[in-house]
Amino acid sequence: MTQGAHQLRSRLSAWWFGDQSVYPLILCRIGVGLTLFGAYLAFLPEYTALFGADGLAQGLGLRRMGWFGDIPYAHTAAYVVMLTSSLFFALGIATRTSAVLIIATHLIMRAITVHYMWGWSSVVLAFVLYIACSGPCSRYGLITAWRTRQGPTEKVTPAWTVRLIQIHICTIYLASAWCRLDNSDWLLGRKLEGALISTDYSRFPGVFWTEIAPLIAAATYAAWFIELTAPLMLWVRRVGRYWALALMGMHIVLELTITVGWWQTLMFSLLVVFLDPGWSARLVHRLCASKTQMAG
Amino acid sequence: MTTEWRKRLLAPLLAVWVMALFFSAWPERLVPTRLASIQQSVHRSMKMASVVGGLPLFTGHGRNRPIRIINNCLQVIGVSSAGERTEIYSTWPACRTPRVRIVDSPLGRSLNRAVRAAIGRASFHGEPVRESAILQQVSQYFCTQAPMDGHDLQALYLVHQIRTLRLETNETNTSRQIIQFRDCQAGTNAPEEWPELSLGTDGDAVLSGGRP
Repeated sequence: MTQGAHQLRSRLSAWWFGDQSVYPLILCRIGVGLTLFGAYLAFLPEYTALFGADGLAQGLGLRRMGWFGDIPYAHTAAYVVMLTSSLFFALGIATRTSAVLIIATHLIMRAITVHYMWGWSSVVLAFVLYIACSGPCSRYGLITAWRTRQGPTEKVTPAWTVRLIQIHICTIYLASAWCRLDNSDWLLGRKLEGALISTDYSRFPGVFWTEIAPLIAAATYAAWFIELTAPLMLWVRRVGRYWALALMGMHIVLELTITVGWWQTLMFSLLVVFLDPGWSARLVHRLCASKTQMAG
Repeated sequence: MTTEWRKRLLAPLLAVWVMALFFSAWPERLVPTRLASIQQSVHRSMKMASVVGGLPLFTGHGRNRPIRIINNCLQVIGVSSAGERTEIYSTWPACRTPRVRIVDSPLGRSLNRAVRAAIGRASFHGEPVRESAILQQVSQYFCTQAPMDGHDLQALYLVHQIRTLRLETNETNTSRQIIQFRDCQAGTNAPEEWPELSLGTDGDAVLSGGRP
């Protein structure tokens, strides 16, 4: 092996298998867990209408489930398990067991709620798995932390768990933004306006958005540019963290104006892995532990 | 630090997984034709497992439309045994575009999507809607639910309204049609007995003729 190849191999090895701060991953775990918890809790007010004995899911979703659909209260049990395990996952209680239960119940609930779930539900399990793979992150429980005011005892995690999240975030932006290159609505800057005036997406469909169409067109181009370049710019040293902040800002604005399920909260939580780990450490310690524990 | 044997075990798995993520997320148009079907199968399997690399978002399923849907509404009009007609469900009150919608109703969204999946693009053009299992299930759902909500129900109509805005001319167009009639007592559909539908001045659907 030449020296160059040897150097490349060791750099790659360090990039994948070196140590990374565990703090961003802890915040991701809280964010992803609460996103799942919130998404499923949203069903609760209409639970009977959707999943009750004569609910909508009986005809539309459960029929597709074969023998599972015939077990009385099986979907209710799956629902309760999902709510509990997502909350436990966020809090770091039996994290890995919770992750396994989340994976099983999400697949069941997603099949039943076939006409409700949005695209975020097709990506979320990968992130649950990546986070659960990190031992130090899984072992840091928030309840114990609040009680003892202690930070995580293991402050680093194998880098590959963080890298997988980072790479997957990039592929999400790659898939969402690059396929718009031949879409005239995006090229003409009209896509966001379309979403804002539509009752399918908008939180304010009755507002006369067309009056500020040029402003919305500018926002459309800006958002598209940030997403389009994200798979590259997020990796650029010094710029990456600000790109992540811009994306987080975009997701907040989108959450406030349109509704596309839980995409925005999920992405907002995950983008933390591109920020300065020191920021995450400060936040975790502010939430759970005393400042003196932060060193390391 | 990851031990050497773990590295050896993980390295090929990570390499394959990262390749699968990129392959699944790569824009379809940029994939060579020979690999397109493989990409679709990889994407489909990953989607089923909820671990897909990414999704094309806000692309209108690849169609460039010169129109915008500005209101998409499902109304369910029940007919009592005395022949009285009452609205038992509506996505928005009287199908009027709301000013603000803070919370997304899972039931409303499920109904709307199910109906849209069943009627496809027929509703855009005011074309007759074909009979479908989904519409039967939706109407049966209301047949079962309505008595529990205190409605004396003999039959019901599913009415779908779609309001569009044409971008070039800023003209709006409202298409409203009965997409299903169900006799709740008999548990059957009777398409030949659909009544006529006309548009009310205040945005509600007015049914005339037909049953009962």
